[in-house]
Amino acid sequence: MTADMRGGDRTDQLDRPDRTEQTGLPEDSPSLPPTIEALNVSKWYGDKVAVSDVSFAIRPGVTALLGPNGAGKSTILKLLTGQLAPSRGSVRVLGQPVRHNPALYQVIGLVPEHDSIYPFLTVLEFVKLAADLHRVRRSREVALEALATVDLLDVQHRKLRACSKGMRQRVKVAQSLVNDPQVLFLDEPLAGADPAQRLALMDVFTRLGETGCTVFISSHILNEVERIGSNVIVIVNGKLAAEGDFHAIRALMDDRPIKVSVQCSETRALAARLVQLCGTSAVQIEGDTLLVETKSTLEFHRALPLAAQQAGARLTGIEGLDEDLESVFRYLVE
Amino acid sequence: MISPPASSAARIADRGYQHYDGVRVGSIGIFWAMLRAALARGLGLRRPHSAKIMPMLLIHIPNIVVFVNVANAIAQPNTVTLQEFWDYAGQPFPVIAMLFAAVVGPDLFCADRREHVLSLYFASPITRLQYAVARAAALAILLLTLTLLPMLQLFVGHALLATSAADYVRGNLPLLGHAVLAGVLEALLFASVASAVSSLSDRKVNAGGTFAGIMLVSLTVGDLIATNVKFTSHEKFILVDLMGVGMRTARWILGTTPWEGQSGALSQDVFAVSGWAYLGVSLLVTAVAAAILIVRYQRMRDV
Amino acid sequence: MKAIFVLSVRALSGWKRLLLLCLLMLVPVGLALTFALSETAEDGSRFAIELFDNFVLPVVLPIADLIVATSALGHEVEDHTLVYLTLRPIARTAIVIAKYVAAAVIVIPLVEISVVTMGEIASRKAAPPQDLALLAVDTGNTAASLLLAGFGGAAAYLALFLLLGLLMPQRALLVGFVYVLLWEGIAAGLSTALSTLSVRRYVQGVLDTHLSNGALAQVASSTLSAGGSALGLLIVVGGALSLTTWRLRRMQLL
Repeated sequence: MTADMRGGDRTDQLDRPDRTEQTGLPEDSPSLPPTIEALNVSKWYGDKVAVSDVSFAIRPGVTALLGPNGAGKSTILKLLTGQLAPSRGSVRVLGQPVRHNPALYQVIGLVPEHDSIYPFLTVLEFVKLAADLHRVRRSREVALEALATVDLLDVQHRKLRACSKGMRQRVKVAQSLVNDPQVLFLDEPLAGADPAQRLALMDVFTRLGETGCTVFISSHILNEVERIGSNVIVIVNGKLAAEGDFHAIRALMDDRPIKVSVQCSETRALAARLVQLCGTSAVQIEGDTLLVETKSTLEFHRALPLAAQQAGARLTGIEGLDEDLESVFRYLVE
Repeated sequence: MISPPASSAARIADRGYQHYDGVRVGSIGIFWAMLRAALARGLGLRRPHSAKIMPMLLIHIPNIVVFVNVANAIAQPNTVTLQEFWDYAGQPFPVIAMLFAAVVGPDLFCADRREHVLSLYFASPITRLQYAVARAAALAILLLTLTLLPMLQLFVGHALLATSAADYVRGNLPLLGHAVLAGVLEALLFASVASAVSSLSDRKVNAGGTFAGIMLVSLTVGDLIATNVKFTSHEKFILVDLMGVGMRTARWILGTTPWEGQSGALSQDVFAVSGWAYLGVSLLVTAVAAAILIVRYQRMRDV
Repeated sequence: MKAIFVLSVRALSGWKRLLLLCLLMLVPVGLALTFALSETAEDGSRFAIELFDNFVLPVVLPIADLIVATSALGHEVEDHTLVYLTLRPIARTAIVIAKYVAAAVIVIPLVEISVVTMGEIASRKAAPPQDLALLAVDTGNTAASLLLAGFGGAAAYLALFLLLGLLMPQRALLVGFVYVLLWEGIAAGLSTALSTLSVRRYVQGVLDTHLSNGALAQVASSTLSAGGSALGLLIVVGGALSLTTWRLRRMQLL
């Protein structure tokens, strides 16, 4: 989107780094100041504590907010966007308090979780409305560009009430992009989208993250979130369970040996060798596959070729079974 | 160590999912379940306290007023006069019944459509007719607490004040029957109109406002023309007053001044309108509203 | 603000709602027509004033305003679409004013057309012979009174019910009716002090503005001056809109 389509009046008030000059993934630049900061944030409704003393800092790039149902993800998103006031603690976005700060919304985009949108508007009218409310110049062109991003140009004149759930979800994404946000909050943005649409949306989010936008996604679809980025914040029962790169989180789980599947010949002979490694805690034989549990991935991968050679075994496949995001998430919430 | 052999007395009682082969209650059971659920919803049961306040308040206002009158009359029989049935039927409590129907009726019908859960109901062996009738019946039953229960209290009060309660009951059973008939007719009128209006919108505010508007506008228009705007047979316009029609039908059934004679006898009120006309309009409006409700739900597509 | 205004007008002008409003506004006109064709020996202007006082003001205006104003913000809260307006760089005051003006644009013209037509039709009925000389003056007085009172009443109720729709969207209707039927209908008539909390009293004051010098002076029921009534209505509108803005600012969107 071209800069002259944006209303420049309000954005000048905020310090906007030139995103086109940044190179590499934002997580390669830890010196970047955090875009979103939550400090000792708690939220309760009467006796029910929804979020309990959560603190984290998020930098530009893609960060996923994960947690089981009822963990407090939507509450945290609403706290970060100023829809809710924290019962305790503080939330800052781009260094400013987010609540009672309409000027900050000039650079924030939100895809809310609720499906409801104005049924009497057309697709284009709804996205153009968002552009108008952000005082974007040439709002119609900007809206069309946003619709092109989410592949909805051919249904721009369709009423929203006649759109499928997946289409409405993409419309919501489109309206969040019209102001070229620096910070984008997405609450279950992939819900209702078919696989092709999900891939397209993930591509949009990835590109946004690579250009310096802070993309904060709450989602249940872990295998697809994993493709967008590796930074996660995991919430369980309203508390922060883990934050950071999920590979690093996995490595910190000393109590959970890494499970590796090794397909080979001479399974018993190789198993006998692997059992002797210090880090190995269990070896299970299933046909022509060994399921190894080890506390030291590095030692295992170094020792495996030599052990295979000594055992006379031919390796045909090696696969980590629980180093993906889904496994990390499962271990954290159990 | 060698494990001892498994005992031959052991058995596995459950191996996962099994089909239900117990008793199935049938359509009557379904209807009763729907009715009970609607009654609970109408009273705000199993919902936050805020959902209970208004229905309970509206039900208790006339009942407490009557109860206090009965208690006072029993405690001070020489000083306090107990209301007659037709006094209650003529009280401004129809306004409370109208408010109750305006609040509870849309809550029973609009919420399910708004939340798009009707498809869940109709995916089970419940017909659209059963759903609509169960909800409307629940509203009518709840309205009976306003149109009938106070009169039953009055009946008990009069019986207790009589020389012989048993003789009073025996001698006034027809009156009790008339009170029940009057209360039921009035409840059915309000319930059917509120249900029909609620079936036309999925927004509670719109449905409730429309129902209350119909009632209040018809009340004012009918009364205005019947009393102030003079032309031939202008008094007949009192039949337009939907709020008053139920009340006047009740008064006619109960037999009261200025009506002369008991129920069944042709007589006229101050508007020179026959009691049968009130009854006819009451039944006609109830039937038309019920028809609208049923047709609306039978034809509803976007569930 | 213009975008929110246009959005709100579109949201509030669905055909069912408009049809309902038009039917409601036709009722006073129908009554006036019935009166004009009847044998009633009553001055038409007097009838129009009394019809406004006893029917339009306590029934038609509140119902129309309840249906429209409670929906303006209430439906946004219920449907969780308010976030599309509040998470924008727009002052809350602008949102509230846009919503209010949108509701007013829909309701007030219908009200004015209805009451003016009602007054015009009713006033055509021949007055009793002794009042003929004053007929022309009274007709003008009547039209002006109805126009101003209709405007003031609609504007005030709209502001009140806009606030109500935001505060309690689920129960706005019931609370609105309790206010109109029980408070304004009964409680506010019990004392002068309580009546200062009644929109109806201020509208009656506006209604009586042009009546005090004509033959309809005896119809005037309010003891408030024109200035006092207008000020009262302005305070109601301003106060309600301010409270709505304050509430919207502090609101938490669950």
